[in-house]
Amino acid sequence: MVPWYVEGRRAAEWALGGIGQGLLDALSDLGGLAIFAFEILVQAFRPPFRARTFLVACESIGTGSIAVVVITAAFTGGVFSMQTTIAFELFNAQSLVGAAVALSLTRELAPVLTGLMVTGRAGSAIATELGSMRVTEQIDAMATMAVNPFHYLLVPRVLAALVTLPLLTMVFDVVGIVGAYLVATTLQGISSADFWSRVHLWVDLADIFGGLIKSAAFGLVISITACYKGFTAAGGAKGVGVATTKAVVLGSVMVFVLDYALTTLMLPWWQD
Amino acid sequence: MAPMIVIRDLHKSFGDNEVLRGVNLTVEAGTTVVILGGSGSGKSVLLKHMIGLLHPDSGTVCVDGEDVGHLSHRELDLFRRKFGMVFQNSALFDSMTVFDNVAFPLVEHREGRTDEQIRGTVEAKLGLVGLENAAHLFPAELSGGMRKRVALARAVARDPKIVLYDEPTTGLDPITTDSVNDMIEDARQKLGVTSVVISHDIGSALRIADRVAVLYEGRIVENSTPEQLRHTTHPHVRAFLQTWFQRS
Repeated sequence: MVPWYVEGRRAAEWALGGIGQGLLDALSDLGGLAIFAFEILVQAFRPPFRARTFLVACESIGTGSIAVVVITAAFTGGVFSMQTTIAFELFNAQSLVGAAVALSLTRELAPVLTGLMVTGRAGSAIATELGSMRVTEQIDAMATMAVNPFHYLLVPRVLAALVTLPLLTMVFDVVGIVGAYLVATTLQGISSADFWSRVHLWVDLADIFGGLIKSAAFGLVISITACYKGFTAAGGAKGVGVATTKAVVLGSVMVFVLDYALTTLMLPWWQD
Repeated sequence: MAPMIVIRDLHKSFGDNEVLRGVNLTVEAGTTVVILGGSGSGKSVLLKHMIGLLHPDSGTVCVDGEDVGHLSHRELDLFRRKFGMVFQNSALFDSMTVFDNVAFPLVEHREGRTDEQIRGTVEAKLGLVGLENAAHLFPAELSGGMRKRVALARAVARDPKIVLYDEPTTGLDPITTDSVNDMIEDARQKLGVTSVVISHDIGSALRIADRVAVLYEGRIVENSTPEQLRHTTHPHVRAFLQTWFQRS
């Protein structure tokens, strides 16, 4: 019979080994992602500029995501308006609801939620499409025809995400604030003048631009992550599924981590 | 004849799996060489080294005087313009029509061609494989044999010096297999290309090859004409051939 302390030591070794391997895998993945991103950056500055594939990618990532962004924005604005009204009633400051909602939306909620929506919709689509192309050797075929797959497939998608994410965030800002306004004025009894005057007083261009800069950064991270996972997919249909799941999970986590980092950097600017 | 492809002592491993263990092979210009071997013998790995999709652990692969292992990304792009490649599963771009698939290498490397010239070339190549009426179809609408023929038309669209075929007849019925073999012979006779075909289809190999090389346990164990191959003394090659002769 194996003594309890030997079994305990084996269990501890097994657990620590698992954690260590997981850490090594994560670091290796991050290193691969960094090299991959650098190659996309290099290729982005090489001619020709592929206007047609860029516009197709804009249509897929941007136009295709408008509906989900509008619906999310309208309901987020409405719910946020309800909750802040209840909280602000406690110290008789309901007139500040418009400012609170607008600031939260422009600085945080619009870029983050737009990023998450695009990760779920367009990020998964990019990873699936590229993954399918990888496992059916279409990417290899492209390379054998002396066409750089980074230049042809990845650069247009990353540039499209970089451009369309801020545009979608602007849509989110407008729809979210209008949604909050409608709920505040029709259901919560806040006057239209109170709502808009406080928005005007408290929200600066810096708040809006800060949110848009964040969303551009999210666009880069989401698209590069999705491209990386799709491009490196292996193992047939199952491998494509795994790549897509990883693209969405990693993309979403990176949106939150990057949001924290960018908020920390932007706070002094916003507080000026 | 001058050698077009010269492979010397090529080694390649994936993890602990040593796939190529010192491959030596020379392919003369304008000839068709068929590389035979069982499943998992490393035929596709060998083919991918010739076009620079894989890099050797050791050894050299020289094509048309260029050492593939020492080319930069840009040099590799220029180098690959000499090639056409037909993949095992055709690898057609499924978001494009047959016409756009064949036109793709021509559009990407225009070299002064007008749209009209590209259209003419694509129609001619599709005519060569008997698919001039399928130009508007998408790959999902084609049969396996038709996809192979489109892949061949795409591979020869830019009149390459070398065409690589990765198991071009696998999974095809005998009639389609014959028509694919005809196309490979036509490509050599009409276009004068150097062809490397990897296959485990002995019947096709004996029909289209100038030379047949047999890959076994990571090495080329036989490199001879089809006629010499029938009288081989290598025990594995004999066993490999016997199964086919018994079946046919």
